[in-house]
Amino acid sequence: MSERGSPASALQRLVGELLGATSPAAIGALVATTAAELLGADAAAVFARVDATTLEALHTSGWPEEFSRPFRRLELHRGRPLSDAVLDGHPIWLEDAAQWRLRYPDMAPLGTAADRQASACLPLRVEDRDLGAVVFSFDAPRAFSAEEREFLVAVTALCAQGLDRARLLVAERAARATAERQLGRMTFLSRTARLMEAPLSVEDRLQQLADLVVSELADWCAVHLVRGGRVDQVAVAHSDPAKVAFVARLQERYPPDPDAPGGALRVSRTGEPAYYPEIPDELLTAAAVDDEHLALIRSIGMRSALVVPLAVRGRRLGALTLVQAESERRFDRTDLAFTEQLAASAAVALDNARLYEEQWRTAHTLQAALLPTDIPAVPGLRLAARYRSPTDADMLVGGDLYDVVPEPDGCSVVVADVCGKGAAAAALTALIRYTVRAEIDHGFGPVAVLERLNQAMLRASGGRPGRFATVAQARITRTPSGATVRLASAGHPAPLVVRDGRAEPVCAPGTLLGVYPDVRLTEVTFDLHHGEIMVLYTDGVTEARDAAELYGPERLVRAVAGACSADDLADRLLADVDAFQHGQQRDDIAILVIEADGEAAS
Amino acid sequence: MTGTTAEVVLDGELDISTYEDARARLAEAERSAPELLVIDLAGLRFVDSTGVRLILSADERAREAGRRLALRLGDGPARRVFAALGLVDRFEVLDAP
Repeated sequence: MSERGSPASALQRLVGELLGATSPAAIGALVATTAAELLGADAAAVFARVDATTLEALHTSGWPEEFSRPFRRLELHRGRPLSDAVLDGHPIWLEDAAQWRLRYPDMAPLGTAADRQASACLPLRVEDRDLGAVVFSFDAPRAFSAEEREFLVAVTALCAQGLDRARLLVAERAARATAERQLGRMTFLSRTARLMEAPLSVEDRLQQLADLVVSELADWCAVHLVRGGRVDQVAVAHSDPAKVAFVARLQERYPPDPDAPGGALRVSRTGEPAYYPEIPDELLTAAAVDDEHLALIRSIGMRSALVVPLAVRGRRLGALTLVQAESERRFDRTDLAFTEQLAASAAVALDNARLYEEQWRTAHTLQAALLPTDIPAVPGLRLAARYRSPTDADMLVGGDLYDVVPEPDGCSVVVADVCGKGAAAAALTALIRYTVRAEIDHGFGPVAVLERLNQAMLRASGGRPGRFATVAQARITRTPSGATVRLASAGHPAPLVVRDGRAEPVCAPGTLLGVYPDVRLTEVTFDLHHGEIMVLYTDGVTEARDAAELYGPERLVRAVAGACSADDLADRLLADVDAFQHGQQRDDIAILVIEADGEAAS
Repeated sequence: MTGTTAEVVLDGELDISTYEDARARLAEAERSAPELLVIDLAGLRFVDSTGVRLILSADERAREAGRRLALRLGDGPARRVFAALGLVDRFEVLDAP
């Protein structure tokens, strides 16, 4: 029996220590040692209730190791003193070997083993919460007086409260940590999602992703992309640029082995993730080409790594590599799952971005190919054309088109605007250009050209109403006084004619093309005298915007009214529209200007 | 007059930025399968080709489903745009300019 101070001061100490203890293990240790000492017990064991049928030892003291080991985990079993105490919620008092034999004949040899005579088994309960039990054992037989029983129960109750508080604290901490981790990860995912949608090139986006990963999840991050038959490292990040440079030099000197198992190159190809909670030195030794290489790799100090595939719809786009080094952090299964989630959402965004970039390129290429590189010289006429794609390079090009076809006695011109943007709109623009050229070559006039174009567009959309277009087509014939214009317009903005310093619209009502099998079109004929100018344009002009309103037809009329030549008109108009929308052009703009050339005729 | 009528009022601007919202509202009205669907465009301050395409496709769906579709065009931008595109006499327009 240990030396101890007065029960009162020992109890005070126990209460103080219990209040300070925050984990079940610490409470268990206090009960099994301090409380046991206070009670004069020679051995003690504290058990926590794990589930409906199981107890687990939190702490034991005073028992020989070989005796306590089998009791670390106990199945509740009625007819055993500890189990009865737990199941009934009442203490079991066994004052000597005789009582053991009487009440628990099966257990008596065990209960009185190690020469222990008396035992008190007390349930640990707070309200209706069953937390476990405590056993205090005494070498000598002991008559538990009413006073002593009361004291033991009180001490046990104190322990139970401490244990209850500690369990709640642990549960609350775990819940809060889980919630914070979840919240943090959700926030992180939404940040990466926004980042992947940013108007940047794929490489810039992935570099930013790598930077973000390094700021929150890992010491190193690298992104690899499959490009054709190759796998390229397109981004690498570490908080220290010197380290990034060091690794770049290292990779230049020792190019990575494409078949290294678990390497980014291999994961990019196989789509199988690689997970290294610990990076053993043998792995580095195996990867190293020579001693110097090994020394250099070791100097990076890699501790743990994850390589997950960037894959979408079964296509392998690349790999995302995360490495822990100097922070000494280690990746666990949760990190692997989260990184796979991150890689999956990044891959989808990446795939969309790639499709988008491809479409963007296709559309721009097509658009560029659709516009005549040079406006042909047409005797008796001066022509000017301008095309402007939207200011924002990320905007899809629209389907604006102009074209000039020389004729023996003048020329035919067309300006068209296909509804919508992107590759599909550009494809329809191509159809319009080639159909119009063909019909003009066949000798058809403006109304017939547009009717035949309408049929071609309907055929292209499978006979159903498809993407529509507005088209203005004019046949311009030289005359002694200038030129005669035959104009038809399929819902296209009315061209303007500038004469005597004034601009007036020329209306040729007509139905847009590509929707109805029967279109109603009208042909208007008018003369352009020497020096008079006609301008055809797309609605990118009139629908240009500043903060408050549209450019509109009135501004257009004012801008072109004073023009003195085809080029002058085109320049004035573009400058005026630019100034109006403060350089922020949303839609594409096409302008085609025809001037009856007074000098050529004189 | 018998039968059910649904009316969708589109105002403000009808272009690429409001297209999705307007499309969803039309789809919602179409789900109730009314005998007459009225689209009120009279209050629009602006309509571009995207907006016109939305109305054209609603018209196509109405034709396929054997429903009546009618427009109110008001006397503002919607009527101007529909007139310029040669579309006014392609629709049942309920209001006069």
